[in-house]
Amino acid sequence: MVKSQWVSKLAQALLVTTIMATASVATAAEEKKLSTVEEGKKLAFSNSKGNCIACHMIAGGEEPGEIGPPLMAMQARYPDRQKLFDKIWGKPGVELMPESQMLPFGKHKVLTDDEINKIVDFMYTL
Amino acid sequence: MNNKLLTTTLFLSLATGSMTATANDAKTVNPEADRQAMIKYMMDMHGSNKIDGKPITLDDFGHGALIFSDDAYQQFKSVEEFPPYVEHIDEGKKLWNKPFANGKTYNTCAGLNGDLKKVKAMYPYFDDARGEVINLEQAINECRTANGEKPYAYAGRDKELSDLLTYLADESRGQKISVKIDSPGALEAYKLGEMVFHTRRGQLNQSCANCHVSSAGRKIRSEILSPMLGHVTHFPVYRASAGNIVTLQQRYVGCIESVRGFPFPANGKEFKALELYESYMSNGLTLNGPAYRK
Ligand code: HEC
Ligand code: HEC
Repeated sequence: MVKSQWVSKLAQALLVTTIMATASVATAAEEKKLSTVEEGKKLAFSNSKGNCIACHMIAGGEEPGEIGPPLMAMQARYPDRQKLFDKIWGKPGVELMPESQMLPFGKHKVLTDDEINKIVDFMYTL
Repeated sequence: MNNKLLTTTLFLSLATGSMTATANDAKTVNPEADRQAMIKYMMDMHGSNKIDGKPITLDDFGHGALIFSDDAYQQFKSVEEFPPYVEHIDEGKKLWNKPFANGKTYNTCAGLNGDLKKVKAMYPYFDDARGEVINLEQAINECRTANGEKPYAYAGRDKELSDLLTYLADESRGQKISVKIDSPGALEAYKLGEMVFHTRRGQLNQSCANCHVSSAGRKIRSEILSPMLGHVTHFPVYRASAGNIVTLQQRYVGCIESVRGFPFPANGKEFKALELYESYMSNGLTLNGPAYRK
């Protein structure tokens, strides 16, 4: 009886630990996901980094400029993630207009590929 | 020579987009046609804007970005009744009339000795004999060195020069801009200025034309972009935010730095050519400087 109580306690404890472990793994993954979006948002809004808001209306951003189109429904409009990345990076041939004022962020080393990826993560929430 | 002209023009057409490309036929650069095309573009884009309840005129472009906001324009007009830059005009006037060590003053120098109201409107011009563009600040400095005085630093780095320019701008109010491109040398300088204006530069890859032609009237962040037409009429400007006078070249430097580019040397060939080009495009507009800006 004492022994079985102990076993069941142990089992319970193990179970709880496992659940906790699984839970914390899930939270960590979610947190990581959240944080690239958050980081992307920061990069997009920061004056010294993307400063996308200087030219684009973006939900959640104050005092948007009017030089480029509003950035909305991005996942629906850019189902191919690579196309969105290339647009922001400044791959030749992806300009919508030949004289586009859109910055070639990757080509001109304003942002790293990693930073652009985070911005794309954020864009996909718009 | 012809080849060089052709390559420059081709390069220009590529760099400048359709408007200038059509204005610049491959063989001839026609400043007058460029100017008319610019006026047409600006009037088509913005001519229906209203200030004081009336559609804007060509001359109103001299008010810069104010033509896009009647509120800002009304505020500007009320500030103009007691302008905060008066002390700079007064200071400039004192400096203008203060004798050099040799007892002479600015109005003894050729180019500065005419009717004071007309001095500023003579600049910039292309001096064929010397093969360079001369602007007002250079004329002032050359008068100084000719009289044994030290020249001022350009592009807003010397407050005395900024004040002198402010005084002369105020004296010249009401005069019309009339820059001539009437020699091969002048045309070369015009073309250089046009190229500087239309070439993308800086890490952010923006040309003057991107912001002040295509995007004029639109907001970049919270600031409305002014049209290039009328850029030169009202300089120097008094910036309330900084509480100081900003000269045209200082503004050029600021705009290039804002796209993380490297500014050209102060009062060098490129900036003087840019001033010549921008001034030519504003021919016929009324000088209305100095101006108040937020
Ligand atoms: C100096 C102005 C400017 C800045 C700053 C800017 N853009 Fe743009 N952007 C434009 C313009 C103009 C266009 C429209 C022309 C084009 O598509 O190239 C555009 C287009 C785009 C497009 C395509 C839009 C569509 O409807 O398909 C995307 C995506 C985009 N920008 C994202 C960004 C991101 C992300 C940033 C910041 C990291 C940014 N932009 C910063 C001017 C700018
Ligand atoms: C990325 C955008 C951008 C670029 C590129 C740019 N400017 Fe500007 N410029 C501005 C902003 C913003 C202002 C302040 C608002 C205004 O008056 O236009 C300004 C103001 C000015 C003014 C003062 C207008 C006034 O009435 O006070 C002049 C003149 C000017 N720019 C000339 C130039 C020239 C010449 C170039 C190229 C060498 C250039 N700019 C490039 C953004 C830009």
